[in-house]
Amino acid sequence: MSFEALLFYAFGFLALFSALAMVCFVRHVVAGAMSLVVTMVSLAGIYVLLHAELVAVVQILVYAGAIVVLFLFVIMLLDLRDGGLGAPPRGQNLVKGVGVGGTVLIGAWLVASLSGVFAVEPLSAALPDGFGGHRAMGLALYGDKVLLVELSGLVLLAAIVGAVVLAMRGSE
Amino acid sequence: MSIPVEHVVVLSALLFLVGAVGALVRRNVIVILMCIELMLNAGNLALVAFNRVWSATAEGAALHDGQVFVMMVIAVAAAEVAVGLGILLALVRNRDSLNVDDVSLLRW
Amino acid sequence: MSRVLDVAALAPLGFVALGAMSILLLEVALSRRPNPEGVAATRSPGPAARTRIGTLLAFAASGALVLAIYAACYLFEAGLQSDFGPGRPLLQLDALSSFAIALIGLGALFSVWLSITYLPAMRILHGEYYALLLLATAGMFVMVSAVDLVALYLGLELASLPTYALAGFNRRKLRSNESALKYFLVGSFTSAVLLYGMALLYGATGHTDFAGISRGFEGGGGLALAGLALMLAGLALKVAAVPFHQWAPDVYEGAPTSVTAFMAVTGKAAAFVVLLRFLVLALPELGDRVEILLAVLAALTMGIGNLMALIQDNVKRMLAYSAVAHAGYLLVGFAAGSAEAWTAVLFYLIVYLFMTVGVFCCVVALAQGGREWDSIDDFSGLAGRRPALAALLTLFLLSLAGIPGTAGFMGKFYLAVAAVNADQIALVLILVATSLVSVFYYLRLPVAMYMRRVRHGEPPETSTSEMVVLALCAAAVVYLGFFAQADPAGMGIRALDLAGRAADFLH
Repeated sequence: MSFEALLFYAFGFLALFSALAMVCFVRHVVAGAMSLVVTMVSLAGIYVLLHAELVAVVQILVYAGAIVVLFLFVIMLLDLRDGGLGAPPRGQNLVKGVGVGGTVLIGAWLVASLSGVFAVEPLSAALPDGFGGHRAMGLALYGDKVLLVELSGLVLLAAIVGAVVLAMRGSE
Repeated sequence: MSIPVEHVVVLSALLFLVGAVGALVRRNVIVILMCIELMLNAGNLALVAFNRVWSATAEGAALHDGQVFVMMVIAVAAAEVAVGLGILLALVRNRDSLNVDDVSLLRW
Repeated sequence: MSRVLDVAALAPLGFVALGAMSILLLEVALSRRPNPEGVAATRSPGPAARTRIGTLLAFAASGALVLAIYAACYLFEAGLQSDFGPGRPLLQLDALSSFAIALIGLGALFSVWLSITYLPAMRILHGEYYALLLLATAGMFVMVSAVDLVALYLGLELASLPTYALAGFNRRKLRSNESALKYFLVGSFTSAVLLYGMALLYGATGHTDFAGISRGFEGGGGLALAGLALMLAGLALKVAAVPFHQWAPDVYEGAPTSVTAFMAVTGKAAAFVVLLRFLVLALPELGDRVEILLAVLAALTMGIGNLMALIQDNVKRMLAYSAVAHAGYLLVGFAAGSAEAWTAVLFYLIVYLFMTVGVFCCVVALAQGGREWDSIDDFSGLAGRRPALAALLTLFLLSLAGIPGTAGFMGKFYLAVAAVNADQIALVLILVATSLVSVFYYLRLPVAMYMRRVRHGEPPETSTSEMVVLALCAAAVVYLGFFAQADPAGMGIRALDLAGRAADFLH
């Protein structure tokens, strides 16, 4: 097993574990947000292994940075009295067991059924220079796909206006 | 590199399932929102992996299709979270709870 | 096509997006008042001034929408087809998309006119309302003209995000908050499912554009089918087809009524056109395989939508289930899967627009002093107070039920004919039977209006903008339903012909 493969499985395990932790184990919202950060950062690591360097950087900046901070900000702003998720779900241990067991089983089944699906055996294929780097991605984004960038600008405008309208305190 | 692409796709499918189940099972709105983010991330992982697969055959501008998609998804996810948390703030001003079971004026 | 930037393809989208931005700026400019120190500053103007500003902004929004509709009609009539982007287009303006853009633009225009007096009556007037409405419309324009998964995803989100905010626009009312929250949670869950489906399709075919997916689909196998299934589930959630319909009544009930009208009319048109483009244009060979699935979905959607509508006491909830039922009727066209059926589906979308806007306009016209009349009891004895309004509401409801002589009948008639020709007799029987069931709940309102005692005080005056909408919708419903047969050169045939030309593009 190569060093890269080792890294991939480590990151993959970390991502999956913290995702499961967020869903099955965590009792407090802030802890949930923290496990989300771990998942995001592990995924960024996997992106680097897959030669998507710019995506990895943006993943950390936007997801782990902006989005999770927004979550934390709102959690603090809301100042939840019971500090969290209320009463734990009934049969907590059962939930944990089913969650972990189910994930492992489904994972094994998927690995078994998906092997050989991909005709092209590609991950060893040679890549052009600078694949996934900022230069290539910049050319791709602002080349013939510039309309998408404009559209995502509109989406962000809509979100800003919407969030401001919803969250502002009424003056009337 | 010796990572079979199936394993990346399986990882993304598992993350997607965990997120989907969490979004359906958990009752706290913020946790549901985080689970939806997890589902989006799973989609992104699949896109990046598939982009790596198809980079062997695609050429020119199509080389980065999947990664361009991922960038758009990240932008949209940020927008979605902003709107969602705005809705949450408005709701909590009127009612002091984050439990979807308490959202009861409308039958769930 | 070698042009990098084909402006014509972007004209409708551009008008609406620029309109939204200028409304945001205009509101700030108009709300400025010099304060005592003589320094210009933003202060909240009084209620009368706010209403005036709101009306002005509504005019601005109408202007942008009219320009967009005009551009779409021009492109449709000229038969132009323009792609945006060199080589692989992201958006494509063809007969189908310009038809859909004109239809969606019209729906948005009616919603703007409904809002002019409704917003002050409900005391929720903010200029951002119109900007959000236009942005959502822009998103739907992108959806119907997208020929690439990425553009489709962005269009869908651009259509959804402002709609979530609009559903919660009455932010001091708990029901509106909860409606927005529910719509948001369901909607973002849906788009995550859709995204995963898109990712799998990309993985199976190596392309994000529809043409490439169509080419690569053959060798896709299980991965492609799984992706397609996830995408179809996501779209079914958007149109509230039956296994995924539970969100619709709650969202429809809690949202401001003008927003409900907008969601019901434009959202449905956009989602169905996407479904048409995706199933018929991108994956034609798939049609036969999913036909049976679509038929089952259609039957379930018609049945459950109509049965659940029977037991509702709130008008908006009842209309929500009726919207579910109408999604079922439209799915009959998909199950039939012929050129004739596509024409019938597009024609039904025209008809559905006018009758639904008409009904919602009647509900909107009765809103006053921060509350609206939305339970069936509220309508008791209305015929004595507002005979014209009651008569029009009855007309629209009869049309929704599909009584002969109204547009709704013609719409269902063409769908049924298409389904019979495609040997879907069972579906036609279900369509007829459930339409009969629907007469019972649609008639509850007229019964209350004409046969019960007055329950409430004086309803408000109907405003000019509402009268215009009511008159246009009533004229369209009568004309499309009644004179279509008598007058072969008339509007009814012309509308069918327009739908046919848009559908011609599909094969």
